[in-house]
Amino acid sequence: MTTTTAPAAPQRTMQGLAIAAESVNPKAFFALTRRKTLQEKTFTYNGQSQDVVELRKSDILAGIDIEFVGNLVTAKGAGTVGTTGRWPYDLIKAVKVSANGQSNLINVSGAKLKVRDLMKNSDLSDRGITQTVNGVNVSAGTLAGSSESWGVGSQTANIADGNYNVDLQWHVPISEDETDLVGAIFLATSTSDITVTLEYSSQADLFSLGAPATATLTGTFKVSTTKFSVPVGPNGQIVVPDLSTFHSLIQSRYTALQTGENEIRLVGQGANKSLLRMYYQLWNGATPAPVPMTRTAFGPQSWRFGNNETPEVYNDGSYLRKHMERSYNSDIGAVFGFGCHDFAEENVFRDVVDMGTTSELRLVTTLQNGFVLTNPALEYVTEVVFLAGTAA
Amino acid sequence: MDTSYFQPSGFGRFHLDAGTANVAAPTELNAVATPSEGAAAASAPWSPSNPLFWFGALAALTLGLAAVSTSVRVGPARASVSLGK
Repeated sequence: MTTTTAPAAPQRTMQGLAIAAESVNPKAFFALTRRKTLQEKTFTYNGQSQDVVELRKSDILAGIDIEFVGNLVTAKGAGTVGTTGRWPYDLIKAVKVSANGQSNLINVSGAKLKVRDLMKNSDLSDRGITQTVNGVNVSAGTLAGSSESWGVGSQTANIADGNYNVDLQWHVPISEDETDLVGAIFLATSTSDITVTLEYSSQADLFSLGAPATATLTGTFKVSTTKFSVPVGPNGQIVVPDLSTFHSLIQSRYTALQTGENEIRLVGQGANKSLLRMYYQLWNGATPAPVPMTRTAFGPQSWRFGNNETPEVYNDGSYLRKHMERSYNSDIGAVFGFGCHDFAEENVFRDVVDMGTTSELRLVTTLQNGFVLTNPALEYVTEVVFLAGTAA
Repeated sequence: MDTSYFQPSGFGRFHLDAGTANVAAPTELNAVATPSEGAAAASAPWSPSNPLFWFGALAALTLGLAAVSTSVRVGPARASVSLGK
């Protein structure tokens, strides 16, 4: 007696998961899906070093929101209490997201997430929202939202004893764009896995305390997600959009800086990767603080590949700052000193940098000769969209 | 207005080809800039750059002439060729 075996349905591999080929139907997906905003986990913060959140295995993940609501209690006694440039957004020292075997898709600090939000959504603005920075009221370039509360200012000395409300929010962009879901992650199977690790800055990173002063920050973290349901199509099969890509934000640190031109070779280059933007921040000083993007500190700013191909050169720090303010409607170089080479803001098809054809991609930052370097560190972030092959 | 030439949709706008996503061990060789194939590259037999093309053309000419009876007249001389008779 002969037996026949039904041929296996054609499959596609997406982000390390096998999915029936006929299920990939973006048009049907976008017609039928439902957006969901869900609270995933709530936990208290008492100064611990990290928390790990495993997200529920459901739907298609597009973004994660992290909210912190708490109190800062300061008591200086005979000493002093101050904040560093890490306060408040770098309370989260690193958000790390791993998905379906692709480790560290996202690995950036809180301030880098805030500024990315302003760069991606240029209709967002921090104009007119007054915060205290370095003892001065500043109403542009603070990255703050009106609905947030810093409690106390950044880089602020001699903080009076008190109990200050702190209310902060960060958005973690899992998909590059929540409209077309490029980079969104399929989570609706038991074999998918996504883990979010929150690492926190130490008290010494956030506060400068003169003994016997104390600063105690406590509160609650809430992790919420934006997901999209996986609908069933006309033939009874699930339908999903094309999820062949991952979106990543990776932060790196470079310390071998000197006055004059510094060429920093970007980490994580490779074929099938497209660079959307690279942005950076220089930390300098005995108590490291971000250096504002001005011509006092920064000379020509550019990027380079190959032997010496330098497509874009901005005259100096102030010029780049003006250029960014025109692009983003936020003066992101003013306070926290961000600089950005953006290839996605205007026309991504025209400007995006294909890492497969631009070997030895470098960020080039020039520091003015008179600028005094003390423990300098350049923290830079590369935002990349790349094709996800079968997990190796 | 057609905007697809400067603003394509989907992964095309990132210069990514989703069709290559299933490669188990992707190589960088197919994505890095490569020089043109050069004069030494083998081309199709119907391309003028392929020696076979000219061999074929010559053979067709020769055999074509041989296939028909041909007479040529130059001045007072007359040459006549005939096959199969």
